[in-house]
Formats: sequence, C-alpha cells, structure tokens
Amino acid sequence: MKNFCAHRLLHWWFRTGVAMFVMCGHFSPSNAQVSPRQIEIGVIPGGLRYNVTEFEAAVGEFIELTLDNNGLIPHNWLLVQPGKLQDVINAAVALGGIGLSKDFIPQTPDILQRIALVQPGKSISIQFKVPEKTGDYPYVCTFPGHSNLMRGVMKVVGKSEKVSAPLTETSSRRLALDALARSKVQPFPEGTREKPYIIRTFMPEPGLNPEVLANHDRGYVAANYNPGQGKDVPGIVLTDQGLPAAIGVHFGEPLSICWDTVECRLMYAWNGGFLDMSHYWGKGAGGSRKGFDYVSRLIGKIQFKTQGTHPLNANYRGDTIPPVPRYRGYKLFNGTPEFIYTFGHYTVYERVTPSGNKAVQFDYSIRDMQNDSLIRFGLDPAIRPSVESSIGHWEGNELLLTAEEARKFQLVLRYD
Amino acid sequence: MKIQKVLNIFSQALAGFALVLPYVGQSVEMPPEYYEVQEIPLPVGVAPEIGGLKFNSKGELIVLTRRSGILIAKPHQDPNQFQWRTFTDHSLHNPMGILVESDHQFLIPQMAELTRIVDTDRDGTADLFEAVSTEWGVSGNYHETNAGPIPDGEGNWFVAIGTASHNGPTFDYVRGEFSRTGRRGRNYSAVKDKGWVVKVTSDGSIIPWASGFRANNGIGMSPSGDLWVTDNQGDWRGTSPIYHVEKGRFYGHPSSLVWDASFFPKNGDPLEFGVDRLNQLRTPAAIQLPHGLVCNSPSEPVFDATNGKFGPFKGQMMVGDIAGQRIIRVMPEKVRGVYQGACAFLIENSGLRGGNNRLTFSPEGNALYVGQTYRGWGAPAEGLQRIVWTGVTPLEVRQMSLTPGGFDLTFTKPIDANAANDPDRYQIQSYRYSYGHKYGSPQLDRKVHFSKRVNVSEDKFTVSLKLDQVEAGKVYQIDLVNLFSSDGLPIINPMVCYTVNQLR
Repeated sequence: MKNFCAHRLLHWWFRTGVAMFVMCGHFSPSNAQVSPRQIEIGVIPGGLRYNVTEFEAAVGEFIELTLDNNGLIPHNWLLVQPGKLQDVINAAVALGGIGLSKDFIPQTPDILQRIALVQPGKSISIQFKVPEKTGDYPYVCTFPGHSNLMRGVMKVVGKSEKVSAPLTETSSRRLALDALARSKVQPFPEGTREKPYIIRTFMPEPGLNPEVLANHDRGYVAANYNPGQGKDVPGIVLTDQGLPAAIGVHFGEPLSICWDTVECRLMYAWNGGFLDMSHYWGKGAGGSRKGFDYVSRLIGKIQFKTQGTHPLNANYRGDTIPPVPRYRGYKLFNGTPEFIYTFGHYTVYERVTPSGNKAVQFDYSIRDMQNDSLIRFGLDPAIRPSVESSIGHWEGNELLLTAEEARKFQLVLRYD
Repeated sequence: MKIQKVLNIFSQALAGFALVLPYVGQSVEMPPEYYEVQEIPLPVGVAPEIGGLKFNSKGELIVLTRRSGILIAKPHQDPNQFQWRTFTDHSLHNPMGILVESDHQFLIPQMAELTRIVDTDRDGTADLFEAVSTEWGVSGNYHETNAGPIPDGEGNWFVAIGTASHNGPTFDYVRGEFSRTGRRGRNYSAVKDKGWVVKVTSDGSIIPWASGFRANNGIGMSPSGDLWVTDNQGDWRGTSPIYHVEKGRFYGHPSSLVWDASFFPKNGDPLEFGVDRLNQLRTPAAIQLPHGLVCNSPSEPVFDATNGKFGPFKGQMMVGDIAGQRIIRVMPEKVRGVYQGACAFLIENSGLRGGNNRLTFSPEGNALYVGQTYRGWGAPAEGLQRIVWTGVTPLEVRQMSLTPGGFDLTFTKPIDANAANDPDRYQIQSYRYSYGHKYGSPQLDRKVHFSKRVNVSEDKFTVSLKLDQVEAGKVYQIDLVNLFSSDGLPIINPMVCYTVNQLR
C-alpha cells in the first residue's frame, strides 16, 4: 500500500496525456496488418473522465488499446454497438451486488470489446480488429457512478480515409476556462416592442437640468487623498457623469427610455439604438470594466430630455414642501414595465411606450388616498406644447384632473 | 521498502524547502476519487457571471447572473444535462446574493435596491420587481457591493454593504446624502451605509448593525444563529479576515464611521482619529486567512449542514476565493467566549476555476455548487461548477483546536503513528499582520517553532502538539510534511493556519 501514494502523486503531477502524443501517430492502412496501431487511454486528474473521448479508426484496422489507470479507483472499458450504450449501462447497473465479481461487465452481445477492471496504477492492453461497418461506436466505464461522464466514441471510417490522431485532454481545467467566451454574449443588449429589454445599471446622464435631479445629492469634487501616504495631497478628485439608480428600457428601433427611480419620472428618451455596455461589461463576451470610464454609452439620438420639477409638485403650492417620491417597483404587462411610485398621498402607475416612430405615450393611473377634488399635473413650459392629453383640461401648463379622470389617462409627447 | 526510502528522501527535500521557503504550498490536486469538480454549462447567450446561487424547495438550482437575469434548472447527475429555464432575463445591477422566499419569489440586493422578484401569475416567469428598500446610498462607484440578504428570523434581513474604491469615481449626482469626509480614503464611504452590515426591515427602512467593513462580499448565518462576514485584504486589512459580527461593533475599516452618529462629527474625520485609538475600538477578525497562502479574496461563507453527506467536515464553514482556484475550509471554535480558529483548503486547483463567488450545498448534501465571477476585476473566471463528494474520505486535518501551550490536530482518518510521532513532520511558524491605512501587510514577528513535542492519541485520530510558545494576536501556520493515514494514503491539503485571539 505504501508505494501506492508515491506512485499516485507522481502520476497526478507529471504524467497525464504526455504518453498519448508520443504513442499515437497517424495510421497508415498499408501496414495495419503487420503491427497493431497503439492507442492508450488514461484518466483525467480532476474529473471522472477518460483522457481520450474520441478516436478514429478505419474499418478492419488492427488496434492495440491500452487502458492505463492513472486514477485512484478501478475503471473498466467497454466498446459498445452503436445505439446500445444505454442498454449496456442499464445491464451493468442491473448486475447489482454481483457486479464487482463480474468487473461490472454484463453479458450481452452489444459489448464488442472489453477491458476488465484495471486497478489504480496498473494498465491492461487488448488487441482487436475494428468492425467492418462504419459508424460511431461508444465506449464507457461501467464502474458504478462513472458511466455518465466516463465515456467516449470510436469513430469508424472507411478504409481509404485518413485517420487522425486521438483527441486528448490533459486536464478538465481546459473545459472550465472558457465558459464566458463559450456563452457568445455581447455587450449590445437589444429588445423589441413585443419583448422590451430592461436593464438596471449606471445609466448615462446626458447633461440634465439640476432641477430635474432635485432628489439627488451632489457628489462633490473631493480632496485628493493619497492612499499610499495616508493623507490629502495637492489636487482634487473629479466626479463622473452618470445616473446611480435609473432603469433603461429598449423597445427596439423606435424608442429607448431612461426612467429614474430617485426622481420617479422619465429622464430622457432616444431612438436609433440602445446601449453600448462594453465599458461596464467588457468587450466581446467581456468580463472587464473600464477604469474611470465605465458608464455605458447611448447608441442613437436623444429625442427628449425632461425639464422642470416633478409634475405632481403642482399640487403643493405656496409654502407646502413637495414630498420626496418613493419608488416601489415595476410590474410587467406583456413584457412592458409599469413603474409604481408613491408621492405623498398619491400612488402612481406609469407606463412609457413608443407611439409610432415619433412620439412617446404615457399611460397613467394616479390613486389619491386623500381624495382631493382635483389633481394637478404640471409640465415645464418648454415641454407643454409637445404634449396632448386624453382627458382633463389644461390650465396653462397644468393638466387638471378629477380623481376619477386621474385613475386612467394618457399623455402623448411628440418629439419631431 | 524501496519506495518508502524514496518517499523519505522526497519528504526531507520538502522539509528543507519548507524551512527556507515557507511560502511553498504543498497541497496536491484533490483526486476526483474523493471530491470531483464538475463543469455545468449554462445556455449559450447567458453570461455565466454568477452573483447568487441557491436551491428552492423543489430541489431546483436558482442561478442569479450579473447581466442575464435568473435561470433555474433541476440538477442532473450528468452536469451537461441540466434543462435550463429563464425566470427573468432582465439585467440586474451587480446582484450579489439571492434569498429564495418561495418557488415563485426571490429577494435580491442590487446596486441601488433590495428587490423582490415575483412570478405573481405563476406562469413560470417573473412579472413583479418590487423595490423593498431603496434606503442605502448609491454614489456611482462600481465597488459598492451589496451581499445577502440573510434573514434574521424575525422578518428582517441582513445585508453587507461594501465601500467604494479610489480606483473609480463617484457621480455628479448621487442617491442619498453625500459626505465629503467619507469620500476620503483608499476605500471610502461617500454615501450612507457603505462599509456597514445593516438590517433591512420589511418596510424597507435600514437599521445600522455593525460598521468597519471594507469589501464585505460574503455574509452568512451559521445553523446556530451566528452572523459571519468575510472581508478582503486591503487598506486597514493586513490580510483577508472573517468576522463574527455582533450588533454595534466596529470591525476596523474607519471610513464607515462617518455614518455612525455616535462617532461623527464628534470625533472628526475617522482617518485622522489615529491608528492606536481605532485599534482599541475595533473587534479583531475571528479568523485571518493568510494572503498569498490560503486566500486572497474571500466571498460567501456557507455551512456544511449536510450531516456527513459532503464528507467529514460536518458543521464547518466553506468560503470561496474569488482570486484563486480554491475553496477554503474554516474551523471556528470558541475560546473564552470568543470565536477563533483554523483555515485550510477544502480543494485547490483540481479543475476548479477562480472567481469562486457564491456557494450552496445541494439538497441531497453530497455536492457543493460554486458560482463564479470576477465581476470585471481582471481576466474573467466565470461559470458554474459543482464539487461532488464520492463517499471516499481523504486524509485531511478535520479540526485544529487550541490547547494550553499548543494545538490538537484531529484527522479524518487514523494516521500512521510512526510518521506522526516524528516532530520534524510538523513545520510550524507564527506571524501577525499589521493594522493601518497601508494596503495589506507583510507577515510580522515571524517565528519558526523548532521546539515541539508530539503525542499521538491511542485511536490515532489526534495529534497533540506542544510548542515553545503560543501568543495571542498571531496566526500559527502548520505545514504537515509526509504524514499518512494508517492505510498509507497521503494528506491532500497539509497546511492549516490558526488565528489565536485568546489563549486557553
């Protein structure tokens, strides 16, 4: 038993796969009958797998196959008729308690070649003639628990075809490394009118009016603290432009919107594209963020930037201080978000969708817990001319709604 | 016999190395015959950058991603046969944890809110994204990470909120109050609650719980109800710590103190308060993970409540390493009423990726699922793997306990007494880490403990080591050289490091 461990350690560290490349040259059919082509199959450290999961053979070829068990527990190797793999696995499982005495090899004509259990650190070779019929011949280890992962395919090709060297894996690590690249994701998310794309991220801030951002605090220019010295040094630290808590929605070509959860309103709308997330997510499949410049980029053209204070501020006149809106979430209706927020005693449900190619439609439902007689919805004078309402009446730049009317009304904003 | 000789020469060579170069790790890859690492692919088109990982009551695996929403699959014995479905494909903002409230309802901390994601019409996909809390500040700095939520058992949740980094800006406009004082520092707390563990109540308000954290990207509760938080080496962190968190305590990183009304503004800028005074205020780490040796970036702590289904480490804490291909095993014990203890590898390399961000045990208990992401920190190490115990027990140090004047090492299997009785097979050194604004710390006051006595218990499970000296405030690193189980198998992870806060 003592030699077991030393042997094993050396195997893990140095051995795997190296022998494969040395031993497996290209096969030339002309000398096949003289001496068998050698194929050696080992076990991957770090995974219950053969290190050769596929090899090619020509019909009628003479092969010497070695199962070299560089693992820590026994393995067998069974070559199976095409299409019969599951039957053989099931038959092996059905051996039950007598399995070990049979090397977990059931008696069935579906098994074409076999290597009985090879103990750790040992190897067993067999010689056989490749079947005369082309096709994929699976092979598998039927030691309990191994058959799901420990399998491969002998691809039998015609005599005239060139047979390539077996594929070997030196480590399961290679399988693991490229999961992100394999995902084929890209940093240009897109939605459609039928299936809008919704993202929470740091949204671009395209120079909004401070009045619009009244419920944010200012991120002041700061003293230049030097972490190495542990004190302030000359200079200042600048801020960057971005919205910390907004939502982006892409409805496809006609409209993209940025709705802010701090101000609880549409910040801006654009069309002709959505966001380039590569500064935040990384290029290609990505992974990496760009230093001090990680806010996503707008693609397309901004068609609308909001202005003025929150429309419901119009209900708080004179000395009354308007409440701070509180975002409550969004609910999806056929994939379109309906934003929900409270504003003092009002609860507001708001959908923002494209209306044709040159307008934004707002569907509002405002519930007033105090049931005042009128609800005022004030717009900035610069915006008012572009807006039409489905209901209510205008008093200057304010839309006056009864409680009943406020429960369902629509605004359309044209931006051409 | 010949092999034994070779082994002895080999081990002497290793022992020599260990004395000259104590940083040389001797762990070997975990043979799959004990624990096997399996790769679980997510569908094409899904970025496998995993921020949350849990099972629901049906035994389905819930995978929360950085930009591809939430995916669900019933685990399959064959890792390639998971049938994935999408619960939502909305791109959430750096979600770093998931709580399964029901099979249709999850609670997720995003950059700007604690969000409840619900499938209200039971069609299998989410249709309600409820903002449960929007109370913590958001500066626009990429580094502000929210880990959790962890239920407190009374309807509220703990969330660990990280600081910002000077490697990124704040925005012109921020959510919540901005503090110019808090903005200073390498890692800083320019807006509310950064560097805190907070309790979020069911109505969304926030109760400050404990302060002094830096990059606390790991929070978990033990089955006995103790709250644990991991943090990352950096400023005010000589090496990566694991804290046992209690209400009202300060855990060492000063920037968060600007949001502690009892400290600021009364005491002025916490960065100017002075290292010695801060040192007196702080509660030290229960367990320190030696940087460069054990762990460089600890993440979520989970507890082995599998009752032996995952192997011989029942009750212990597993912690992922984002910056290394390893899972750490932590063995806390209470000495004089305070937690301290040892850490070792559960598994290193062996086919495991880096980026080990989130962990969860399978309902059957035989597998530890690992969600990986670097979150844009460096070269991507993203994906989903699981570590499956085969039922065969490796030789490992199961427990390391402080005794008067030494340590007891308890193994998972009986050890070869001849080897274990040889004091030279225990390479022991001790060191401590400094506390201050400098990034990280070298090992200070390093001492190699040549003089030791060894006693092997009758059942051959436990080795008692007596050292020349054991001091509080130091980490004791023991490298086991050429120890074997009595059936001749080698130890897989022969390094254990014990943080001594209190003496027996």
